[in-house]
Amino acid sequence: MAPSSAGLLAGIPLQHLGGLAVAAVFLVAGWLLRVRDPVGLLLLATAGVHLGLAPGHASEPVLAALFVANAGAYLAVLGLRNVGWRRWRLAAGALLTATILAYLVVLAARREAPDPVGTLDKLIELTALGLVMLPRAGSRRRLRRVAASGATVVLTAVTGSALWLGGAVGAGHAHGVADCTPNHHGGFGAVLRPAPCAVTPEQQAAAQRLVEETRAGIAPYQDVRLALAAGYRPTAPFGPAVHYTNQRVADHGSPLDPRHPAALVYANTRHGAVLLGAMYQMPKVGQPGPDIGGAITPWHYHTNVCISLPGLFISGLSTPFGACPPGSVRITSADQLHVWTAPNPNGPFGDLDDAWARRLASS
Amino acid sequence: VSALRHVLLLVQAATAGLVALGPLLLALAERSPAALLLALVTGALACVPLAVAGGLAAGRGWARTLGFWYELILLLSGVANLVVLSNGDLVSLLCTVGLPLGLLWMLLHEPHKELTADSQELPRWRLEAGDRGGRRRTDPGG
Repeated sequence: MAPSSAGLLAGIPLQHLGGLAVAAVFLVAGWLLRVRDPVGLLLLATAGVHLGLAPGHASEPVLAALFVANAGAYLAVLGLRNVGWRRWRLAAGALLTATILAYLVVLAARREAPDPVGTLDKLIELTALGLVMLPRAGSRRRLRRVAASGATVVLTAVTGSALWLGGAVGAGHAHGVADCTPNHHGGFGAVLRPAPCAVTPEQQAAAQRLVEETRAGIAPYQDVRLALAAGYRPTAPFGPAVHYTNQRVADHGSPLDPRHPAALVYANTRHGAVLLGAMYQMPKVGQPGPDIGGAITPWHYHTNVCISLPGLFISGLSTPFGACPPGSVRITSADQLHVWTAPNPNGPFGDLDDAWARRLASS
Repeated sequence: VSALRHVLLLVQAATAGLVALGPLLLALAERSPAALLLALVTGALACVPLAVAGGLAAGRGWARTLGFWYELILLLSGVANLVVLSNGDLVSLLCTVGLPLGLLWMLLHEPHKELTADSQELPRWRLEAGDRGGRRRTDPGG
């Protein structure tokens, strides 16, 4: 089932909601059992998250078993601390570090896409790790205090960067509509609209027709100067491709007019701009795009675009923690659909293959 | 829980530092001085929680004031994002509203005391002695 697209649980796959639920139960139980210190509550929360994630990963028995073992290890450390084991800090620190590193490895291997539950869990673990690294009460070890503080900052920055990068490159295991949309994935800030997995012959034909009509419609804009003359302006320069948006068309035009799409996408090569395709956009935020080719042509929208209030320009993308630069606000885009008329390896509706686009740009 | 406050300030500084990457990439891609300036300002602001954490650990009175105003601005901005723009997803809510709110509460209610990871493990007389010492250093009027 697709994750919710709005509200408190936005972006959380159904399979991960169990993690939040068990964490909440563990926190309440811990409170009733008089666990009141921050480290104890944080360890309980992360143990609950891992235990609650196991059932949602039943199709991957090794991963599910690791989740259960990890939760058990956290609870064991907590239990040993409560019976007076002196080395519990060392054990908790090692366990937290290993868990954070394991998650980063899973992200790097693209086995899992970062989601809000994973992000929240890493923040919990980083805070707990920061606490156990600090010297004991009453200690005068200033150097250790400074080193622990520095390590907390560096570890948080590295983990946050990995989450950001992981969200940008996506993953094969995405728990959502991406499971049945070929060469498409969501990720931080890019949310795919749900579409039925089964594609009818009529939908296939409609998708093919849209590609052909788009190719014919935007042919005059092979020369970027004509696009500029028609009112298209470069925006969103992230990655190897540059979007040229015509704001008048985006706001008031027909959303699926192949001769006047909301945006054109170019690769900046050494020999000038090369037209890669078009981007269609719905005129209003929250208005779902019309179904054309089902799972072949899923619409998407972005939730991580930062707009600077002074000057109204794109000032960046919000971090996995939802923050934008000062003076900027995070907005949600209208539904969008890219159609690649250039030979994108992921197909005319798939994600733009970054490596291919970079090779093209440097050619 | 002054250790918790300390660690949360460090985590906040690191996450705020990441924000600077967005305008920095934009500045490099577009060669835009405005984006570069924004990246520098964002990076500088990310250092504020670090300064507050360091200042509080060293018992400096200005750190509490600086932290108070910083967290208040973050909280107002987070609430505006939540109410006006409906950016109310779980992580965003916790990081842009919950974290500043929690830190504000800690800054307002928590007396200065020695930085400890588990102050509840200290005997009560040690905590009270720590509190008095902290207040003496940071609050001349007290």
